Amino acid sequence: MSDPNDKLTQITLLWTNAQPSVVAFIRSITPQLADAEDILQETARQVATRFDDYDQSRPFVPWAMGIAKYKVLEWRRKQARGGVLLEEDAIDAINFSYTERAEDWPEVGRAIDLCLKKASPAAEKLLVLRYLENLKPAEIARRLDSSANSVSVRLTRARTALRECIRRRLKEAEIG
Amino acid sequence: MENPDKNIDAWLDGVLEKEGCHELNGWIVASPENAEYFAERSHIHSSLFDWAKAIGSCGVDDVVESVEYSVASNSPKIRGKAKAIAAAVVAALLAVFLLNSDPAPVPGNPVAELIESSGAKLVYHGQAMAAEEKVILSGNYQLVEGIASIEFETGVTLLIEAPAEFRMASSELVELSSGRVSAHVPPEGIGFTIKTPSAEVVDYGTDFAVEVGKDRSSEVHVFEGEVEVQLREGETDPVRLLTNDATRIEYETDVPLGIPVDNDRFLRSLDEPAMEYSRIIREMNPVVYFRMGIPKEGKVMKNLGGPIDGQLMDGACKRPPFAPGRVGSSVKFEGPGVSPHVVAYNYPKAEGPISVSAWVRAGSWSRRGCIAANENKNVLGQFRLGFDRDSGRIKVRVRDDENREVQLIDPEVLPLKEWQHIVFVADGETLRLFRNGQEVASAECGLISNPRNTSADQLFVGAQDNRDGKMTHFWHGRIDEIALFNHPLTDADIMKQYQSVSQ
Repeated sequence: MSDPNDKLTQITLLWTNAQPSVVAFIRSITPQLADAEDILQETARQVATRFDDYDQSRPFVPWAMGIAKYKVLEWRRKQARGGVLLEEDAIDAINFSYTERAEDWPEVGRAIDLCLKKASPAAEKLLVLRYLENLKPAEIARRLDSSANSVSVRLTRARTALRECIRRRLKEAEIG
Repeated sequence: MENPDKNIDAWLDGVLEKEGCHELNGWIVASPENAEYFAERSHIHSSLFDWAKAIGSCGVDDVVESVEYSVASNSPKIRGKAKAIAAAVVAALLAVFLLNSDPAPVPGNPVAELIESSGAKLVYHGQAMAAEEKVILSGNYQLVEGIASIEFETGVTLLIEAPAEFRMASSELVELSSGRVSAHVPPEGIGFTIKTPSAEVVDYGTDFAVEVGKDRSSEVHVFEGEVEVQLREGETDPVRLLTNDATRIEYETDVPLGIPVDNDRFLRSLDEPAMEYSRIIREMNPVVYFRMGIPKEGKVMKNLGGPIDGQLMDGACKRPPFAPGRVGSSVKFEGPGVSPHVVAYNYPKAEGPISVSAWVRAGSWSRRGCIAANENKNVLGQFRLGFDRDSGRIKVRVRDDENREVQLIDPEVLPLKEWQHIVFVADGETLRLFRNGQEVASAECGLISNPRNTSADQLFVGAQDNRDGKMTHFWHGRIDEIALFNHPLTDADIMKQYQSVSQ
């Protein structure tokens, strides 16, 4: 029988590694932060309780992502009919992509940190309002005396610039 | 899906409508590449939450303040302006404190800078701004005269023509109540918005112009790039305009009407471009060369051919008398009634051969509309170039050294609303008239000398004086790049001028 402390250490290590991908997947399907937090907690709980079912000869992230998908679909079924939701086939496709690229995400995460250091002050201010204060574009527009459309366009531009920077960094890392 | 990034981001920001979500769903399942693209973008979105959480540990207010501080201090452009901006805010506060009068504006935040102007008179919250005031604070403005060029931190520049009323809401938003504005938006300024009574124009990196009419309808013209026009209400789908697209939105109906883009209406720069044409003209040694651009020093029309400048007389014009020209800007003449014109006194007149070249764009065949003349109280001096009474044909009249009047008339009517290159040359033997590089008429003619029967010292452009010395025979349309040479231009010179901007 394995030592419970070892098992806890093992779960902690594996989960710490998988968590950014899992949470990113959940946030991509449920843009409401509170919902995403609930699903993440449910996923973590399920991962812990079903850890004995995990085949340790296989990668952990796809297994955890499978549980996350199940939890996301469960949440989806509980939502009011007529709500604005992604369909199950799209959720499947997104989950598959997240799982396929699981090994890339840590590298992408490091690149994001470096790229954010180079963001313009104006873009940084916008991102702070969006992600730290969790404001919608309309509310950000009110704060900045701008328009919601303008804020959305600038957010899109900031994310696109970030994506381009990440791609450049990953390419450089590949060459280097 | 036309713009995946936009839809994905709207989804991630929780503002995607049902129809957009349906579209996004279809796009994701259409190919594994699409799903992967969505995953990549949403992963960035998720990482941004984690990044924000990490920096948020120092306190929300501190973060926002530090970002605001870095906006003000890190940008080299802003750093240079910091003193002026601080001085303006202090000055505005002092004004409020000292005057303690109701109309004094509450100072807003610095949002932009007046970088250039041509006779611009700006009114801020009902009070005239000093000419030397360059900092544009947020708040309500009227441009009552002239043209103002305003630049924002992001490099967005606006060229505003009087009369105009607008509110500088922030460095990303201008609300235009009336008037005409052209905008240049570099990549850093993407998202810049001009709001009108009937629409909201969001820019995606482009050159575009907006005009709000008295009836509060709006027109949007895109010269390059892309903009999105969000309608005020009613129609929910925005209108996307690409290069050479334009739309009109009536205030009452709120329905977009596609219209042809108007490249000839909006001024896009206060600067005359240093183009090949200008170099060619200067190499031909003119004695008078008016580029007919927007003057930056009052009403002075700079003479690039010699020391005698012209004066732009535009006292009664409601809006600045300029419009896009054949090369850069041109002077726009309103025709009979009240119209601007240019006068140069005591310019160096010909004593022998003479040539005059100009680009003209007629709005109508105004009776005896004058392009350029050396006359005095309707008595011919050395030359007169303009329309032949009501015929719509260009006529040139000169007085030679035997005091004979010689005239030529183009056999064809001048096309309206098209730029035409007009030249006449008197070389001592022949008077020749050219249109678009081709000779259209000629007659025997002696050298040109100072006329004996008149003391015509002025050169008029766009009008001439009558017997009472009042201005008459106004040109209706535009005149650009007018040059006078006290020597004969050759056929090759004329063709070179014409071809340098025609090709």
